[in-house]
Amino acid sequence: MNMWQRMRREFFRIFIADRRRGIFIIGASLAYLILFSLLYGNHVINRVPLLICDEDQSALSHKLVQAFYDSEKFRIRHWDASPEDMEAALREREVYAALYIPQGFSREVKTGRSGSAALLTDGANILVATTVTTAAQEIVGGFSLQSAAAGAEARLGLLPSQARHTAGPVELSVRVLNNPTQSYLYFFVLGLSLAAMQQGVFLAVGAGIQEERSAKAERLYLRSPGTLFAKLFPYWLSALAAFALTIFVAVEIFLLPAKGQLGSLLLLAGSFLLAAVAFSALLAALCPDELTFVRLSIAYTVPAFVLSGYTWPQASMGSGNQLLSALLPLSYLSDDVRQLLIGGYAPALYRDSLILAVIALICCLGLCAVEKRRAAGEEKKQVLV
Amino acid sequence: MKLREMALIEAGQLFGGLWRSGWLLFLLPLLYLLFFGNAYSSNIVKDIPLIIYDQDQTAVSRSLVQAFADSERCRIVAQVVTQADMDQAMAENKDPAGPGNPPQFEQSIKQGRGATVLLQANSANNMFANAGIGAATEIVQSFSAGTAKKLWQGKNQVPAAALTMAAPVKLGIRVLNNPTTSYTNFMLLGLVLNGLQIAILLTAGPLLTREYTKPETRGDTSASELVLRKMLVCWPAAVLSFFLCLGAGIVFFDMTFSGALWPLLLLVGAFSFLLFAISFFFSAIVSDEVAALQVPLLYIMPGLLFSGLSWPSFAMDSVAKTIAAFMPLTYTADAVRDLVLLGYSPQLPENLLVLCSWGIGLTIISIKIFSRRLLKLENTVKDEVIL
Repeated sequence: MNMWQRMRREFFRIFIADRRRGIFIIGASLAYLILFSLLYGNHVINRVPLLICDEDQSALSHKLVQAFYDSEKFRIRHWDASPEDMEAALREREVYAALYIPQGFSREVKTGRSGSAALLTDGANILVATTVTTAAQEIVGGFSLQSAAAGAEARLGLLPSQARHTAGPVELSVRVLNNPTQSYLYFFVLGLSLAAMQQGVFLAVGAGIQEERSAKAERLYLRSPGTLFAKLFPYWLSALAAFALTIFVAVEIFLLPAKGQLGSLLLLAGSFLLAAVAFSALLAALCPDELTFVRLSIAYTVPAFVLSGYTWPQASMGSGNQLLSALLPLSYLSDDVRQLLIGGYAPALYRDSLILAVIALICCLGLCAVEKRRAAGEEKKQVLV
Repeated sequence: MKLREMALIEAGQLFGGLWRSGWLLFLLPLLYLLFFGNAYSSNIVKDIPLIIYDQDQTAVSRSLVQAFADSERCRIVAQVVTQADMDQAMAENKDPAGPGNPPQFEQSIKQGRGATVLLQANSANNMFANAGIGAATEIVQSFSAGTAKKLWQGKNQVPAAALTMAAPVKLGIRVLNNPTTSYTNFMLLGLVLNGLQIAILLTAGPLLTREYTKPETRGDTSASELVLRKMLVCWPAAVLSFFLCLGAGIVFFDMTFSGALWPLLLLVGAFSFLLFAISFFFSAIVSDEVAALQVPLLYIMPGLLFSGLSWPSFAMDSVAKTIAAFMPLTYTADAVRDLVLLGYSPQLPENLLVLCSWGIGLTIISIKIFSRRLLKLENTVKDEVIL
């Protein structure tokens, strides 16, 4: 059987004889893309349930409450709660934040003694806690500035613009690049989809390698570059097509930004898939049976994603995990793909592509060595028989 | 056969050797705890790479730069002198943030015209951008209040009055349950629970399917007895594994624990029972052991992320909420975190009811399917013998 016939046989197995493999390669990343786009469809956390406990009931305190009401980050659930209600409502998860304005708040501000408001929030979910504290600080900061400017006008007889600059002499203007709305959809979904793609490749390649092992006739040993290429190329090509399809759906249907060049994306994805196909083939060759391989690859999915640095930065991990992360192919893909798509440029593109190619090469050499050894062992057995 | 004997047989099959699949129930959650506990050991994102572009180069602008340098959240990696350098440095660094002081920064402040500091943050990774913007807002607000105080003093106000006039409204923030907003408290136990559910799917998934392929080992044991004895061995092991991980998390990764042991036991018990029921259901309906593992594969990541552990349920739309309602972790992850941090979970009774009723329902269905398929297999064998 020549190389072309072997490749045709492999394509036939992927898409006709054992359709599971084709479904894994093409379907895994698409399924995750659709599922998580539904989850993060709102892009950011808004409308956090808020409780108001206003003991002051003055014009100024109402103005502060109005500022919270006007913010899209909060949805006021209780307007006139007592201090006792606050902790109970937080405890019962009726609300996730509570604003407390004490009696005499307005008097303190007006007499120049600084009025204090308190915000209680639940820190168990830090995404909610961060949203709440950031939004509240912004609202109260703006409110304080307005009050200070009014005080400066009244006390020092300054013009409104002068008073404003005296009250808040330094302003921070924030320009958020690449993902200006800080959308979770843009931040998260693509990485999850790529993790699923890797899983799909693993399961399909693993099934292919294990199938060779159990084949009674036409046992193919992957000990030469030719046989290796014929066996693994169909998986690589199918996965690359799946990657292109996933990106297309992400951009055209879920409206993810696509600023990067197609060539850069394909270079990175191509190198990653080389590494993923070779890595999974080596792993499958080392496993005694398909069941063990499937178990191993399923257990690998979540750590590979978390340690890839896609969400929690590698710089903030311990040194052991940094080393582990450096050994995983996904660490060189997901962050770069996100940078390419939403930023248009990935500074580590060529370095990471090269590392992935080196991982692929090492795994292929390892696979050849394992297969050679196995072939020699089986030939020896046959001779003995 | 007595229950004890049945359980012993099953225990031998699952744990009678170093490489038996039962050990996965202990190994996988523990590995997840060690990996992720180590990954989140710093608890918050620190040392955010920062590029400084100070066009003013005065005492005031330098004191602002110093305030950034003094913060543990930031690490100054470069100081640039032109906008082009700034843009290039931003492009070359993966996750930088960069404040820039405009020219005449000090002069504008002193003349009462106000000055603006521009912060550019790369938000491709929201974790970096959020931490960077939060830290910068805090630093600049403090700096601005300090500067305003000096300006008020310059206008003949006494220092104490100047400070209150500069910041007339203060906001005190009290963060309950996880005051340091530690990532370990936020995520680690949820990830361990996810490790446990994967371990359950991997261990229990092939158990019933194996009985179809090896009918000779079954003897005259009925389908319900088989399911029961497998459950009897695996279920306590899974619950024990969770509590071992919790203990290790408290000892090695300083996880907070409020001491609500019994509610936690009930909840984790109900959760693992449902997971075994789901595994047995898939195991009963598929054709081979590998398929029994592959069929629930799609569930692994969505199970965690739809659970409300990170993305809160009030931020989900109705479709996402419907999907989340079918994930066992939805009824467990958030509640377990509440029990561990707060010692109380408002939805505990409701969650227990859902987990147990689904678990019982699925176990009954699994036994029915399993029993019917075994009977069919027996009949096929009998027919073959007759032939």
